[in-house]
Amino acid sequence: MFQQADARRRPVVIAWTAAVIMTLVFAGLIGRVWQLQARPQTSITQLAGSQSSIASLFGRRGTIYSRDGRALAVTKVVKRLFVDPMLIDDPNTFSERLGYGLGYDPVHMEQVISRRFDSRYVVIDSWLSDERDARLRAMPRLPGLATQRRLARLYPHGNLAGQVLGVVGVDRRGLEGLELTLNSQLSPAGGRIAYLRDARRRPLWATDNQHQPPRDGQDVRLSIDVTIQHIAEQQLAVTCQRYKASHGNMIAINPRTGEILAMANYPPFDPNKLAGSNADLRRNRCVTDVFEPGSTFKPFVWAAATQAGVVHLDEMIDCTTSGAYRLPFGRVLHDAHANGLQTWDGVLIKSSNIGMGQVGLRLGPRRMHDAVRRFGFGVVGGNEFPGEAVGIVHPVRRWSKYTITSVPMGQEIAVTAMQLTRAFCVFANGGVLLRPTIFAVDGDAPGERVIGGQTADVTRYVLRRVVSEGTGRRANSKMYDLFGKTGTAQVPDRVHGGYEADQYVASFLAGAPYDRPRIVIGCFIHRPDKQIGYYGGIVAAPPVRQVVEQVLPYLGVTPNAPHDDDPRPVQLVSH
Amino acid sequence: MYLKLFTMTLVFAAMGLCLLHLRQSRVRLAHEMVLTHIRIDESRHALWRYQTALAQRLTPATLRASVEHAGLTLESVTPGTGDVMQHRNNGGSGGVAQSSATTKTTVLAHLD
Repeated sequence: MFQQADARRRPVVIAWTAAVIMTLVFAGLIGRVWQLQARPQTSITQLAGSQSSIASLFGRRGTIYSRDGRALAVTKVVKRLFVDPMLIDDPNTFSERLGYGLGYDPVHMEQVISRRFDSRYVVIDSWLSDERDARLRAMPRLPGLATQRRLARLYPHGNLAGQVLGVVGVDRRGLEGLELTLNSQLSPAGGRIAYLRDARRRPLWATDNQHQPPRDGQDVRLSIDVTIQHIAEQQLAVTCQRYKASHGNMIAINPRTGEILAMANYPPFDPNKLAGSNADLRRNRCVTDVFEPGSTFKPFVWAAATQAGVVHLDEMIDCTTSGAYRLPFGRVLHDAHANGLQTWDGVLIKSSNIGMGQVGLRLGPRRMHDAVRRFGFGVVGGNEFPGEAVGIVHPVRRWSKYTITSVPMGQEIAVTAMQLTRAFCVFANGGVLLRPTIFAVDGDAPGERVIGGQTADVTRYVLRRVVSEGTGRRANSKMYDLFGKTGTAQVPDRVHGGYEADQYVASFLAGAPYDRPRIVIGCFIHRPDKQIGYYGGIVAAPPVRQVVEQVLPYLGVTPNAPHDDDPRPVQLVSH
Repeated sequence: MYLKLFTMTLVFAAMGLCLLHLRQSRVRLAHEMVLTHIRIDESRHALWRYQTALAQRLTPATLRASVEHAGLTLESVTPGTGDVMQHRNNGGSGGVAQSSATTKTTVLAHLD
């Protein structure tokens, strides 16, 4: 009987034993899993650590586009080729295999590597070309040779608008130009991701909470039009080379919006070739350099005097038949030619210093100074360019009688090319001074009224006659009616005082078309060779005409049919 | 009894296998996500490369060379400029010597 009871209990005992054992085994496994996850051993942690790595994810610096959508500054990934000399298997033949395999000079390779043989990182090529990269991938693997990806900034248009765009340094921060001004906007934020890798270093999966996506920088669209910029740079280069000028500037502005359509400097600068360039070449002289404007400044004082009512258009001014005029306080003013009696508009057409000086005395220092400031001289136009100069406009308390007769001639005052071109837009848009901008805008921009609309129209009419019958005749075009003013200013001698002998700035400010101006252009040629030519009307006026005749068709402006000059506006009311 | 034991063992084994399969699927998905990350990154870099190449092919000098190579004659889209530009290209009004950009082609058409 007891044996039968034992036989019936045996399966139960076995079952319970098996269940206990399995429970213990599973409990042990779960415990082990928990221990590996929560508190792993140091050796295991180290092993896991060696199998994980953090990879950087590139954020792209913002692209700078032109007005018409073409990329002026872009970023892409390039490869840097480097060598770890410690891993080279056959140093005797390495340089030859590398050189002949990828098209480098083997002797130069040998020198580069041997100079830093104790280093673990010797750069062979900081920017591996696509062709060499393809050859590298096709050739047998060379121990010790590897590539590293990095970001590089490129300027696909070469030296087009080079000084405007500026450059970035090796740390990918802007150093000059718009790259500097817009650095915070353009700068990206890099990302990272941590991978767990297998024995062959292939990524298995990303570690949780270790993924930070990159953030690209903000793209920027400029007001610069590539075609207009190209035309301006071409004409500027041709002119500077022909007249052997030391440097030149040309600016084109939309007078209705203040957008800078072109900003050219000569000599040009290619941001792709930063190494070896000097600071003078990289400087955007259109905004950083100041100079005495000479006769191109006369329209502003002329308009101010007309606006103030101190002179009337039909009033006769004695510009003398000798070309010299002694002022009451003893100063003698000179004209390039003896102009005799001139009407007030004739004073501007003939660019008479005598006429301007006499009327300047009537205007007085306070009103003249205020007018000069209202036109934007002596102030920074905008904060979009690094190093933008304010120019020199002396406080009125420091004005002397000489000053009051010098400023109307564009002397005792220093301005930038940008300030002059911007101020000239006032005559093209009915008397409003706009804030110049390098960024594309939509629609007309608000501005500050400087002179009345009628004064602006009358001034523009007279400036038209400057081109059709005055000193700007070489800018007179069969296609479009230009209005403008020439200037031939002496260069101040900063060392000895006075002016440098035979050194001039030839300039021309113009707008077109006359009836509804679409563009205002300032051209400034510095230190042309006097033997070849130095007058503004000869040196600077023709390239402006060339630019107008190419740009206006591009902008869709129909050229004029043959006609007589427009009639003068008859009514003028001072405001 | 033995049958119940055997069945329980099989059930636990099957559950274990399912868990393993799920884990393996999770690992495979994680791996594919990583590969996708890498492909996205490479696509971004390739896009940057193409944008750069495109920008380099759209410079005024490159476009002009392409037009000349193709033997195209551009015509002005602005009415009234064709004859005048032809006159300029034939050495019309004076001034600074014209550049090759204006002598080779009749006029710059709208490029945008």
